[in-house]
Amino acid sequence: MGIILKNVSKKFDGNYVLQDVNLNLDEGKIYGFVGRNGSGKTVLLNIICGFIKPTDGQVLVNGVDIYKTKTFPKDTRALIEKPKFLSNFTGMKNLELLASINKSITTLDIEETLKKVNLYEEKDKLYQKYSLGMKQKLGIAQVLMENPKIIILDEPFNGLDDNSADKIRKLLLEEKKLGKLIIIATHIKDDIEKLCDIVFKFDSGKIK
Amino acid sequence: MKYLLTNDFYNIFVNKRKLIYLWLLILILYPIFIRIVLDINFTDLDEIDLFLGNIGGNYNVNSVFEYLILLWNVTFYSYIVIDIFTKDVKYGRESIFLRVSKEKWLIRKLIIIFTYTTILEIFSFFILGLVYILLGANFDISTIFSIIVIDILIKLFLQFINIFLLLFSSKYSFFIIIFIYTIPFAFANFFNDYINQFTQIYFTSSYMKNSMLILVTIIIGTLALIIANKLLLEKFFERCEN
Repeated sequence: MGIILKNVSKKFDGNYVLQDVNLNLDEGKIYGFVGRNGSGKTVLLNIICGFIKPTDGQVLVNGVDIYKTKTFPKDTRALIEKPKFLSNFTGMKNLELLASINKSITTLDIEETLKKVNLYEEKDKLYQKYSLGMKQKLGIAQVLMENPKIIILDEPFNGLDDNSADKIRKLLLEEKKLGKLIIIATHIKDDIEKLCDIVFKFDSGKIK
Repeated sequence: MKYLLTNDFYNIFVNKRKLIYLWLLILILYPIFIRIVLDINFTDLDEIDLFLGNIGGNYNVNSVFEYLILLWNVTFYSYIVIDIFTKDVKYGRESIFLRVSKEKWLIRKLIIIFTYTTILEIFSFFILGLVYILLGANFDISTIFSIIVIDILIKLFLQFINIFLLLFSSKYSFFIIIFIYTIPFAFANFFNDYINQFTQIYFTSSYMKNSMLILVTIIIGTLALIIANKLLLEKFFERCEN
């Protein structure tokens, strides 16, 4: 199934931030979106998630035209902007609250995810006491915990130390082996060259 | 539901606690101003009428002060609605909307608005009731309790109008609209005779009036739900993008 983008364009105030993007993204692969800040990669991630309507074009996620049906993509989780967590709650409690929306996972599943992202030891700390790296890991945990088929991550290695970044890279490779479709956007080329199967380079709203 | 309830509770009662204190402070200062600064004895006034005006539930405005307190109440409750609606769309997209459909989210938000409006209403009734008693008002407590229900319905009615307007207008023009739609209340006295005639003809008892208000609230609520369909929600989301 995967994601199909057909002639996707987006204009803001009369200027194109994305122009005629055509992509075919399959399951079981990791895709990299590389480009400097403002090149249009984050806008495209938002379009794939159903958050920003494209000016033109079609977005099909698992065969569903999400803008025609006016729905959000199913089985998809994303970390695009700064994740919104409650600062007076612990990391664990924040994830439990998010999981309560769908009730598809247990506390054990959440703990398991926290171990995978190397945050289990700090699970009972208040979110406001978390460092930037810990906040980032919690954001990644909220993406992975419900076992989604499509994983979208914008600058996932921001604020992470080398050790944690390596752990997340290994984790994403494991997820890929399970048949997940993973998209990673970054402005640092070295971040994803080893990790991705295909890398798309963004420049002024176009893919080169 | 648990996540949205907690999230909004946190946003309103923790993050906006200073605004809530200010709202309550102004509500409390109003009867003190009437009683001490203007030196008017409550016994010279209709206490219930004054209390209702204080709480923003009297739309038969008699003075500039009553109008200002009405505007303050309407603006406060409208701000809470804006906050409940726009916070998720602006800051919680990936954590909320990839987990719940827009329609389910809207229904849950309406339940949350009902819950928190009721909590704020009961809380302000309790605090103001105490202030009035301390200032020498001679309240019949049972009357106060009976007006709580009707005032909550009025507030909910306003909240539904707010949601309706929010779906059609931008965040900033929304406050201008609030100002405009409270203006007729300032001139309500002018139409009072006509209103009285109308209510005497059509609603012969207060029970009928209350029943009609409940009915109107339900109708407006249902209409708000229908109007806030996929298309309108879509427009609302698009506006929040920019």
